[in-house]
Amino acid sequence: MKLPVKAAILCVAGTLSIGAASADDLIPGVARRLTTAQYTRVIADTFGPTIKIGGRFDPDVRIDGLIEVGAAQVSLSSTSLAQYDAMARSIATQVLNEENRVTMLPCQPASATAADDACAAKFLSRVGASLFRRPLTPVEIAHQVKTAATATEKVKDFYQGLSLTLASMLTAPEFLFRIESVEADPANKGGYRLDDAGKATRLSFFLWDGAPDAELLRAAQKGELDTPRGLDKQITRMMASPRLKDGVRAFFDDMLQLAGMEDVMKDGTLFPKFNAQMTTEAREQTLRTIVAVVTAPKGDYREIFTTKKTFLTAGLASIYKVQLPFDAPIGAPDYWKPYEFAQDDPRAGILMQTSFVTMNSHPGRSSPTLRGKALREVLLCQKVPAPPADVNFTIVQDTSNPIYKTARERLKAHAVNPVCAGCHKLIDPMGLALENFDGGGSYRTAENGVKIDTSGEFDGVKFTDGAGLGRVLHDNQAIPSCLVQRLTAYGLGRTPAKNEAWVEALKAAFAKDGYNVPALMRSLALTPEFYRATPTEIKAASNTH
Amino acid sequence: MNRNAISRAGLGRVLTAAAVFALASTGPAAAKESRSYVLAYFGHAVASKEGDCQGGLNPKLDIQYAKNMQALGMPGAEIEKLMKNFGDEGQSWDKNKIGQIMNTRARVNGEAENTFAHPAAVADANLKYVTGKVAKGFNLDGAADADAFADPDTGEKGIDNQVFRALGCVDPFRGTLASGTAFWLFMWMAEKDSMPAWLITVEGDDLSKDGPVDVILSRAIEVTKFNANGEARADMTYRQDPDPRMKANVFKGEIKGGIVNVASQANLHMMQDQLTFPNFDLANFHLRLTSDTEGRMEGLIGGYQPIEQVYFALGQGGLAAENNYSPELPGMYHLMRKLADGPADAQGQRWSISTAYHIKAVPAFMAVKDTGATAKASENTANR
Repeated sequence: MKLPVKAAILCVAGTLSIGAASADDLIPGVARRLTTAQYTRVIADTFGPTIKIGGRFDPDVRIDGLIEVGAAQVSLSSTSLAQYDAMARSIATQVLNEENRVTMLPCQPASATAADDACAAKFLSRVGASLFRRPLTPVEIAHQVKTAATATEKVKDFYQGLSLTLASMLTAPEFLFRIESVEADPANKGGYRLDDAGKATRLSFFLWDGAPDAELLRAAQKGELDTPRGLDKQITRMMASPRLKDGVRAFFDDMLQLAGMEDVMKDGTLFPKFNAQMTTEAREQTLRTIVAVVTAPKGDYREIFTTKKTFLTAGLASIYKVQLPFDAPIGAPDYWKPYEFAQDDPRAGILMQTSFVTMNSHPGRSSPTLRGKALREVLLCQKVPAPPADVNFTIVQDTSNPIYKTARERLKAHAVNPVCAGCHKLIDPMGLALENFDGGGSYRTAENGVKIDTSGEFDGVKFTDGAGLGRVLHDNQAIPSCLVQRLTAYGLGRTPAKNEAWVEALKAAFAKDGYNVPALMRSLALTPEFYRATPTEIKAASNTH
Repeated sequence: MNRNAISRAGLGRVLTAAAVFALASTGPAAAKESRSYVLAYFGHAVASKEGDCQGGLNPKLDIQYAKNMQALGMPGAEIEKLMKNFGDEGQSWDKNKIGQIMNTRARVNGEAENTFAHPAAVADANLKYVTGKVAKGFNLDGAADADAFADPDTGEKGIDNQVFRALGCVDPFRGTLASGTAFWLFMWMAEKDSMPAWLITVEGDDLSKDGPVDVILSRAIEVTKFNANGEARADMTYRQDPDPRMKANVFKGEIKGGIVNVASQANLHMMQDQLTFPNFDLANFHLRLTSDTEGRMEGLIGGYQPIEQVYFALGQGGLAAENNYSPELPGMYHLMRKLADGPADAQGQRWSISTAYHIKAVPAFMAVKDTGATAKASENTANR
């Protein structure tokens, strides 16, 4: 039996909870707050890219390495609600201003100063389906139309009345949160699965990082997503869309924690080439590199650690000290060019790109420890304990130490302390492999006049430099295993329990498919467990009430 | 040897460690080694010293303007009355009597004309000029004339830099290579973000050794890019402006003792910025650049420049420019005409004057033609 969606969002005392009108008919689902990127994309998909979004978003929260997991566990503060409200009013005003209303409205009101329920209904039902990721019910449409009519009556302006109603929809929980509602799962007695709208939403944000399109909503409404054939058809269609690259980008941006580039600051004296523009471009370079590798026919995920191919702007090329073919028209801004490093160039793969080495460095110096820690946590899904509170970092930070001239020497001296030694033994060798790249991303061979030793060992395999480390990671099974774990958590909005059989099966399929990420996404999207709200999940959601 | 010069071994180290190479051509002749740079600073080469202006510096604006009014035949009492209000910035133009008078002190056929458009038609204020013995620049005529300068660092005699001599007793035009002049620091700051970058390319068989080289000056489509700290950004890629007017700027030179030298009889023609030199010409083009351990270049370019170009870089700002950095712009024109040492025309008139500019440049790439394919690192860049 299909259960009606009854999850309701109650704003109480400035925090948002998932609950129901009464405790008896509580049917929880998974609710994920739209990330900044998703909010922006949904607005662009609904109203076009010219609508400006002004205002500050609450910071996204990262849990278990992913913002997408954190998004399922965050609420709204009263302050952020005020920000969302301001953004909503601004967007609604733009959508229905004199310049845009002709294209935004599917009809013309009978009078510009009086309510027109038919026209309002047309607009609100179309826009509502896009914003709420599901068709509005007749009751909901009637409610919104009535609101618009009341507002129009007060302000004596059809467009302004409609604008106020639209603004209220843009602050509705159904818009700000992806509410993946559930129904009883016939294949899992006593359990629940996502209902049609919930499936469409999960699928769309997973594959496209955006709201479902009209065709997916139609298929969901017809119940086609409940059949393997119908589901397969929609997934195949969506995988063939160019929007798949948006989904791939969004996942890797989240997994590699590239949002951290927004906070990267460098000492302009030490790293003069690194400015605010580089933080944006470095992040984009890595995403372009990854998307090109993994979405290529038979693209192998592991090659992101070894590829010589990338994309550069003139600014990034100056950091890499390479010549960029450049033939834009006069007056054209810097633009992206595909580029391939020479075989004997020290750079290969994303780990030696400006994003990774600068993000995992300090403002004034490189950090083998931060880099090694990021490699362990981000790419290998391992947890590195935080350092004890009373550690003395003096030697490590003293880059002009007359005795310990390289980072390796300083870390060795620092790790004499047995409290520190354990972790550093785990994280430093990989980080030291990247010491040829300073805190600003530039290549160097020596530090304080001493040749940098980048040799090391990981899992019993030796390497001599960063490129060698990339090859070692390419061949290590923990790398694709972690990718599967992260992608699954990204799609579900929660980290799956350890060694769940279906996740293990996905890992095997990933290897069989040549570590092809789109194939893995397809496999995951076709797995019934992907849409199953497990008892654990329900319990977790219930606890947020 | 110039104290800024680096050793030959030092240049070799620079080439392998920090310099960048451009392979603009792909034909068989591409065996030549090529290094490109982008202009990072530009200004007059100066070497002012205490006491190098006999009788002191030229007077400040208020004193000079009073003299100018006197030269125009105005009664002393009226001048005194007007000068009481001098410098009152609250005055509007219609009340700015001094400004109006100074703006039209040229006389053409007895009629008042714009002072700054007609400097030769303004009475010569007989400004003071540099009487010191040292200046930066080049010996352009090959002669060690008694009235020529000597280089303050190397002692080289016969340095021809009459622009320095003409302008060097006006405060904003005084300074040293290290300090720059107030005028050029301001002008460079104003034009560096809008002026298409100048590119300098050095080509030779082996740039780590002494020997003949070609030095090519050209202009980019882009402006020079700068780092967050205000210094020109090294290793950027620039597209060459295909404007044929700058195609001929290829000069034979040599690397000697780690210094790139050009001592040419040929002419340089560049285009710069509307603010200073829409056209920039130097006859008998000379260049001397040294490289530091980061691969950056610094040195001088010089030659005989049309006086008109030098003057209008100063004078096109009109009254505002005169108020800001010179007490007497037409006076500077007259000085340059009197001190001109360029080739004489058939009437014996000299319309160009020796000069030198202090320049800095950082390594850059010249863009190769985009073929649409994925670019690959050239062998040179990979092995740098």
